[in-house]
Amino acid sequence: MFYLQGDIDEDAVFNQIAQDSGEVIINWKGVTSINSCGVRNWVNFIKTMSDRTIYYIECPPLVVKQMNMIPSFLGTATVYSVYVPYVCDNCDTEKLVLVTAEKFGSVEETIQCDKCQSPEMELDGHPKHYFTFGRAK
Amino acid sequence: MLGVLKETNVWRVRSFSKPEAAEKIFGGARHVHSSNLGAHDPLAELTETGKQRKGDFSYPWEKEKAARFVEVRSAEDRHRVLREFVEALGSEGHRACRDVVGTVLEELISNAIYHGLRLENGNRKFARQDKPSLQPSEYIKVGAAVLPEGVYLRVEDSGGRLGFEDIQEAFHRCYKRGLNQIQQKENGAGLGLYMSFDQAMHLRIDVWPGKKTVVSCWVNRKRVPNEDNFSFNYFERT
Repeated sequence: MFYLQGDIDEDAVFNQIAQDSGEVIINWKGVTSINSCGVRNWVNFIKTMSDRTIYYIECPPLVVKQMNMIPSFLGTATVYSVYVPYVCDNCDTEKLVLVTAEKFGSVEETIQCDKCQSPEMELDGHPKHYFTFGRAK
Repeated sequence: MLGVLKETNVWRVRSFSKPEAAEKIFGGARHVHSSNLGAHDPLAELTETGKQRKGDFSYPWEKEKAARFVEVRSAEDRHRVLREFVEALGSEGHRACRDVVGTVLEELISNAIYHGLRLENGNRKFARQDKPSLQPSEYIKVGAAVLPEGVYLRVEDSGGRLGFEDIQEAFHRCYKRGLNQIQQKENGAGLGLYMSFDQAMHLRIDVWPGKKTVVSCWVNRKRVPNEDNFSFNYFERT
């Protein structure tokens, strides 16, 4: 498994991932930002891995955004899990909930806030749009 | 759900996604407004009258007098300006807002440096790995107004080179599903602009050909329950 960390930008290198054989699992949890050069770097890299079995796990919202807007960011990978962002309408608390692939189509739009107990902690975004990447393949 | 095509290059529809909007822009729409408020949306009204009045309109946030402007004179300046603006947001508001402001501002300033400023013959002056400084005759001005509801960003360059055809090509390349889209152009695929369109709510581009380009946008500071409210406007000015 490979843990990506920090900013994905013009200086990001992914060669180490290619050197490993077999299935590749990419954990995106530690990624803090992606700019357009980073997207291009990643798309170019993932293209060279098209004959490999790749899984994306723990994708934070900023990675999900890229997968939704730029389908080639996903390449031939399968998304195993993503973080879904929720915001409490009552106290503005934000929370990320990890959701695995079997629940992508049935994610809860509202959950209870851990901080103020309000039942109105809502999914930050449109549930249909958030999982657009699932229809990309 | 799609509404009515009102004019050849204006779409006002009930509500749709950003990739759907990108497809319409690729198809030639210079003015796109998605709204769940329909005809009651005053901003949608502005988009339409803007087309009729050739860009002679302002969104409410563009009238904000509290906007702060700084000049970017080099690629290195970019990081300082970004840091200052994002810090100015403070810790209040939706976390995603700070991420979006950082991303959009970086992309717009980089676009201005690497794509906005060109040689006389229209070719690019700088490659992305260059760290250029601007000539005395060139400028890039970055402005921002931080309001309780959101952030207004504005990047102006002295190039005036961003043609609508460039945007069409870039959006087509980015939204189209497939592996061979983005990497075809080594030196910029318009991806930064596409990312800005995706992340900002209202993106407006005014181009005075050969003179200047102004790209401005609005980013909500608080969470928006319905992200289907957004607009894109491209005006070629004289």
